[in-house]
Amino acid sequence: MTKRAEHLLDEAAVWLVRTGDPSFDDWDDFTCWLEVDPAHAEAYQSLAESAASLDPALAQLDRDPVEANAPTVRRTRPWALAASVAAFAALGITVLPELRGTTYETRPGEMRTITLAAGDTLVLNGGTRITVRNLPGRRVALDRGQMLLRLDGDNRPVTVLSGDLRLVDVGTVFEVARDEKTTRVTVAEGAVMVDPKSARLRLDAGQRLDARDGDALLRAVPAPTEGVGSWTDGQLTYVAEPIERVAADLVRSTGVDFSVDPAMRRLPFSGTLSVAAVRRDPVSLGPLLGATVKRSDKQWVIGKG
Amino acid sequence: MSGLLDVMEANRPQLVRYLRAQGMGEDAEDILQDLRLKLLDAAPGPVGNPLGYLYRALTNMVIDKRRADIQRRKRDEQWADNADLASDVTSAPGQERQLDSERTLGRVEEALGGLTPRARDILLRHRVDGQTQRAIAADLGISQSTVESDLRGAYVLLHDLRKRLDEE
Repeated sequence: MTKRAEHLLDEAAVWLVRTGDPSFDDWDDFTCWLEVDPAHAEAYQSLAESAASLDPALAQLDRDPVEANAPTVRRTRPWALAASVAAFAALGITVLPELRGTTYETRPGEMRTITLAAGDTLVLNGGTRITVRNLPGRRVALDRGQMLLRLDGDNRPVTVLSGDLRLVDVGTVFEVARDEKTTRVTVAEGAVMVDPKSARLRLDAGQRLDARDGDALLRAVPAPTEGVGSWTDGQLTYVAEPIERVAADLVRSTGVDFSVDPAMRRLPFSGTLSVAAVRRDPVSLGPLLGATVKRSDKQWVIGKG
Repeated sequence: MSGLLDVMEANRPQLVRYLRAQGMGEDAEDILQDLRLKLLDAAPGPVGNPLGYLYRALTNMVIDKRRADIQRRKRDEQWADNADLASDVTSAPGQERQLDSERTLGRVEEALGGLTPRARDILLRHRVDGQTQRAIAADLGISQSTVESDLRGAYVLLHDLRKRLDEE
């Protein structure tokens, strides 16, 4: 590389670092620098693009070299997250709103599609609340609910946070649901890296993970790919799933407030339900589940058949 | 979100100028329109530095657009290269991507060996965890300009690696 080209890259690096900070305010100066020569914009963007293209790999690196090659898929505390939160608290700095990102929330029964950059989409089911951040890294925090992600591998990776679970992926189709303190991740296409910093469980297409906040072990089980995201088409498909899960999904998708009699909760259900049909007539759900559905106050109770 | 849209309209000439300075030329207006649509779609949320937020969003879009253009060119070239080859077996695009990323992971690990442990830590905190430079400086008990200096070196190193990987 020529001396001039090297020098230009160094200058571009100065600007890349500075513009990467949310408090940066010298956009006019930066514009002037860009206007000096088209090669300046080229250098800046090239540097930014190189870093962005390597983000997926960076996300998978061991954070603590001592922990490398651990034989079991055992998790440690997500130290980085804990450290940054503690730092903000100690200095009395209010987290900048920009860092918190944009919050999207759907009511039960509502569905919403959000487009991230160039071909990446999130479909939110009802009763879902997420926060999306685009800078410096793309991050979606799932507070509760269910979403389907379709990500193009050519774009920057997306990190999904659910409780203390961290999922990183590039170019996949997968679904994440969070209720209370459990997360369920199912991959339809591609692969998702779970907990890239510690457990590093890789979930491939046709696999599913159920994890509770604070779980020490993560284990993947096989799962049919056809079911992934079927709720976006108004269909809910189950193979021997407990009724309490079916009910939670129905609440999200129909907006109808179902509750389940304790005696019924763990009973398995297999079959496909139509969201529209159940919404129209909640009582019709009963025979399908081998139960009875009765109205009680504002709720529809699923009880013994 | 009307606050951000108002700020966008009030500063439109400046933002267009910025996009042109980034080489977007005729596409500048379209990119602004894209951002406008994205903002209309987003739920309202307080933004500390609205104009800065818009600049950062636009910068991101410029970089994403550049990546999309490069990928399209690469695909076109590959298609042209393979047009004469008849092949019975084609590996699924997903598989190729996975293999490529495992190889890349090893190379990145190797290249990061050229950084001090502190610089590596700073890079990962910033790019993977999304910590601000100020927060990193506070965490590590060093000055913000030290963080900036380490990050600069890391970016140049990543760029060199990217060039080497592309040449293979």
